Amino acid sequence: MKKHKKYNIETLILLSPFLIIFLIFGVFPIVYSFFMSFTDYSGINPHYNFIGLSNYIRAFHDEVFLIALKNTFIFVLGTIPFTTTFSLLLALLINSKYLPLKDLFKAGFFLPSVISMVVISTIWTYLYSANGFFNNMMKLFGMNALGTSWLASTKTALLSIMIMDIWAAIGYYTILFLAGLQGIPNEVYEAASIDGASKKQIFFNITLPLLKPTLFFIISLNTIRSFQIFAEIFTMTGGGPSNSTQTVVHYLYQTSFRQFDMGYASALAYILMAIIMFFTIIQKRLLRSDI
Amino acid sequence: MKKLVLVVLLSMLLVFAFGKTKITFWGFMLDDESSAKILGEFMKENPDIEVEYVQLAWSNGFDKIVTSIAANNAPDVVELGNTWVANFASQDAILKMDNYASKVKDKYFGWDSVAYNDHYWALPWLLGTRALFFNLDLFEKAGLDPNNPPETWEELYDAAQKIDSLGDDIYGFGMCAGENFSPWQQWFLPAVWGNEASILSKDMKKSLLYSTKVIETAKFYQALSKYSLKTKQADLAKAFGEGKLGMYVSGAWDISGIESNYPNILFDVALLPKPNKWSGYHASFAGAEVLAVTKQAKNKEAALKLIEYLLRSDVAMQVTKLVPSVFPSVVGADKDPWFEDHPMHQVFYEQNKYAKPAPSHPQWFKIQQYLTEAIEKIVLENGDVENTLRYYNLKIQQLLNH
Repeated sequence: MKKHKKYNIETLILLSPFLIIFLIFGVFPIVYSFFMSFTDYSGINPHYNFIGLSNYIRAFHDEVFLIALKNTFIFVLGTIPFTTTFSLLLALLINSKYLPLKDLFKAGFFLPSVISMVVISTIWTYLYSANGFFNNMMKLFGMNALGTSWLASTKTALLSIMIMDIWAAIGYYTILFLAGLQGIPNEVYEAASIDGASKKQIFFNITLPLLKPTLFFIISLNTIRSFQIFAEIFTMTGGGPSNSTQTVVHYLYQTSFRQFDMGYASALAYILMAIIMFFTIIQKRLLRSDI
Repeated sequence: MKKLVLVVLLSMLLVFAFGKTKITFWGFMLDDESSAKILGEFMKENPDIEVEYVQLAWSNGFDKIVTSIAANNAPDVVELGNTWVANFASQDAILKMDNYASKVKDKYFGWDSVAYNDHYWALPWLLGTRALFFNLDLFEKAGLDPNNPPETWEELYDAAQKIDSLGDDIYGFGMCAGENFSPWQQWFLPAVWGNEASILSKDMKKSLLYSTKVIETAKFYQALSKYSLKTKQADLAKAFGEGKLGMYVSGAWDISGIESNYPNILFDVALLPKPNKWSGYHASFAGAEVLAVTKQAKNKEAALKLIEYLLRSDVAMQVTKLVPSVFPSVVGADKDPWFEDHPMHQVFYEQNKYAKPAPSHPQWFKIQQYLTEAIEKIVLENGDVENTLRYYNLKIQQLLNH
């Protein structure tokens, strides 16, 4: 017992450099911004007043925030199913015995994950521009091109960012799925094929259930990441046109750093946190792994 | 005796070590090379002052300034965009400059760029504005006189229509859309000003978006949009360079951009058209780089000395030669022989006289967003002008009432 305690103190001492940094730069800002969400702190003027729940109430009367919330949900619901399905399919393809040049495919699909989102966004902004790749392709196939940038029209802006985001995210999740697939022991497949299971049966009764932990990890990671979408919006549209691509994190950035409303922005951040937490818990329930 | 010598030596060391006043200057315009040269000369003239320069980027410079002020670690002198002055002034983050400004008021242009609440909060350093770019070839092809660019809205509309009819992928005019700032800067709000109207009342308590003259301007703008390519600023410049765009409004930075990227395009610049021959004026949007001293500055006197130096015609002209999209705010800077070799830049210098900054309101960031939304509804979605303006007039009014 005594020895155990000593071990704990030693661990703490050895961990202390990290713990101190984590407390100062990790925990403190989180707690401090929670406190700030009950004030009218501007961000650059040191004086502030305690205003209770006003910021939280204000958020639900703020038209732009509600639009941002709606857009964020559209983004999350519109990208996650595609990203997950495509990356699973790609992983299965790369994992199959018949595909040559596997490493080339792995590297190729993973490449976008290595490049900064700002760089990707800048390149795609050109692809989407008025006489960019996509409009030219439309013309080539005899369709009516938009005559404007895909990002400048309220009808296509959010969709365009979603398409780009799916493209950019797939590679990373493919690698995660691939790791999950390769973690399934070969004996299970061998046993199944000896028992005469069809490919479809193998996939739905063996591969998919055994992939559940990976699937849960990927979906929750993807949910959190998608709810926090920022760099793409910041670089490509700035929330426009007419707020059609305004998202929660981008809006909270604008309220804090452009409108000097740090208290309100902190409240928005906590609302977003609550939403993300809610969805992660639901996903955990739905995808509970029994293995 | 030995002790005395030691004391003297030590105090001399202290004087040498701490004798220099050290100030920090955060700016956007100067790069490493030019700051070393320009600030080096300043330090030669003022051997007791040492300046440390930090170059900011447009993408995150504003955030850096805000964070530094919040962290109580602000630079002494900071270069601000003129649309930010009201923000920082209303938060009491920069010093009032009334005393200094009253002494030098006649020497510089651009004072409304630094005014907020009847006080001056910074000094105008470099001014930039927008003018009309037009393609000489397309003018000729459409039967227009390239030596007589449109001077009035009607002439502009007429020219846009004629050029637009030249082909499917040829557009008469370029209108900014799908971005945060350019839709109202280039050129809706200046057109409203040119029409001798305004979107906020003088005391900034009333929104005037739903008024006869603004409606008139918006209707003209919507009509013009039918012959326009409506997209982002960068797309417009590209289309213009590729010879697909007759006219568009942009800043002097596009002169060198087009000349180097599209050497085959023949183009010229002109003052922005005014509503008609007998009324209104060639209004344009004024961007300005202004210099402010932060409230947290440790050495206010040295900071002012640096600003005084940077404002000097010869020093500011050095920046213009490096970045030929901004011009010194000093009256008479166009006497510099550089302008003779750069006639298009001369037009911009001339246009500066009709240029106005955005209204100096701490809520401007939000107001301009509403304005952008309204313009995009009108030109991108062909929304009903009066209904749209009435709706956004109300929204802006709500903001002003707060």
